[in-house]
Amino acid sequence: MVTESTRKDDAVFAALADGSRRRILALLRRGPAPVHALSQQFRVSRPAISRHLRVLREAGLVRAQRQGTENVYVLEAERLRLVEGWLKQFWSGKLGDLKALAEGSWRERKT
Amino acid sequence: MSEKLDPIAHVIDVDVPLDHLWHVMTDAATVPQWLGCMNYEARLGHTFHMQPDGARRADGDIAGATHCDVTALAKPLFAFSWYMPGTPKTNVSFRLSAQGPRKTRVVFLHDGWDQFPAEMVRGIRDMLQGGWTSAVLPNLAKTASR
Repeated sequence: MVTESTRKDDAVFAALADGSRRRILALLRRGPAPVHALSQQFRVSRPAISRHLRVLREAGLVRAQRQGTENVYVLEAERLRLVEGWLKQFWSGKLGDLKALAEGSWRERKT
Repeated sequence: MSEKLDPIAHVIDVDVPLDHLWHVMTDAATVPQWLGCMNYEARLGHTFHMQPDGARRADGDIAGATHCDVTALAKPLFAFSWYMPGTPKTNVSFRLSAQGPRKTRVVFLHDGWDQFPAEMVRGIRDMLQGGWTSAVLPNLAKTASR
């Protein structure tokens, strides 16, 4: 079953798979920034930056805040929750492998 | 929303005697099989690496890998630090307890996240950049569906 949260997790990992988007997140870590400031940093067109920001926004990694005449982008702290979930899953996979290896080798030893 | 991560904890029961599980969990021949790490040696203070990128792992390249120093290796406690160079060391531990002649409980803990509220973000991002998403997640899915 594909749940809403599964789709969102997939979107987060897809968003993080791109180097430009990771650089945008790194910049936003220093503080909120408007689109024009981000596009100056990257020397790419505003539409290109806007596309990346849309992907990040849909993944829940950033949110837009209206400030005067333009949007300012802010890093979402909630993504840390996702990292936590990801680490949990990572270690539970390792523990599952340990259990399978130990039980498998114990059975083999006895036969 | 808190900027910190809570400790990661797991408890799992394994249907083998404690001594057997200890051997599989810590022996240099079997640790790479379940932990997927590189350069492991069963020696206190030894540093091994967890390389998420499968191609780099095959080449013995530790770029982007998480570093782990063995900090405890005395039955029933196996522990190592877990860090990216230049960031604080988090702690990973596996503590065994016999639940019967052929049943052993593993209590797993990954803590130390409180050391870096802001720095953590960078550490985690570096980790993700190393290819965890492309290499580890498919493995996880495979393990989970077995």
